[in-house]
Amino acid sequence: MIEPWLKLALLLSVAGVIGYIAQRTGLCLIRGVIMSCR
Amino acid sequence: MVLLCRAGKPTLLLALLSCGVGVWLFIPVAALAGINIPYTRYDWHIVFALGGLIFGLGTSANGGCSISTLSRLARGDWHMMATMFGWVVGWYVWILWAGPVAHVIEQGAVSNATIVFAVWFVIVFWSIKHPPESRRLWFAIMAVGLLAGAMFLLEPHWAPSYLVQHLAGTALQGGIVMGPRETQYWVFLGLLAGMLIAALVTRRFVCQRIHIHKLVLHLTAGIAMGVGACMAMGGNDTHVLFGLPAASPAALLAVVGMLVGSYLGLVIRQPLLRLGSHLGLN
Repeated sequence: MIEPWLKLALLLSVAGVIGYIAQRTGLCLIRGVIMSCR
Repeated sequence: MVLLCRAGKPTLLLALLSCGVGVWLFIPVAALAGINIPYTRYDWHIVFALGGLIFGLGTSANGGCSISTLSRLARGDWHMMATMFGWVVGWYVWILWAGPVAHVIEQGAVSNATIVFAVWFVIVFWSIKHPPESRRLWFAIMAVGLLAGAMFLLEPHWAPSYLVQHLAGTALQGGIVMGPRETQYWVFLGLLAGMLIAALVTRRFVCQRIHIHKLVLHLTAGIAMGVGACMAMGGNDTHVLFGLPAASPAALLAVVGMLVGSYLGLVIRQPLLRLGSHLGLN
């Protein structure tokens, strides 16, 4: 078991990094389809 | 975005479809920590393909899937609020009208980590052959899969689709059933914060003016995405990250449906845009 505050900090941090990468890479299914069709 | 434009043609799609493998790399970690990762596999059912198709059409009309809807919101596209609201409404309406149709074929802990490791290394080895720009994109998306696995240990239902599903479920039961957990909201806020920081760093944040016709378009697209996701028991995030790596037949059907729906949506999008332009809506 981990402390609640640590779990919250981990959740926010990991989610933040996922969000950051998703924004920087343009992570999107529809964009993937568009690029595959080009 | 520059990175994306330089990437090879199918690289983004292939990376997206295979990044879920990273989620299951955390299975041994979970086993060591004494955490039982629950997963559910659904049987084949045509509803998954239809749901995926409708979700894909909605995604095309919206111009973004589940994750990229949040990305666009974080870049100042407020119309995405209508998409998110429509998504909850669509899910709610469909489950109210039709109810769940699929049946579970297996439920339990995933244990075959060796295969997952083998697939992971094949993917990584294969991606090394890519040009540097594509390779960077590839590894960034695979990192998302890995981080999704880490997140899975902390909150199994962290994906945005689950939040929508739980919100719709609460509304359906008039608050009788338990709504989303507090941690799901925190994850949602964390995702948005990360996206906002990236948008600010790259100077892509543009506070857009709200247009009524665009709100209607995105609300409609969101409803289609909600109905489709409800029929398919999840959006592209849940199926790609959790369904495909768990070898769920339903997830495969749903993802194929989403790809076909997205493609069809793109094909019919241009004539519709021309019609909209003709009517003075653009």
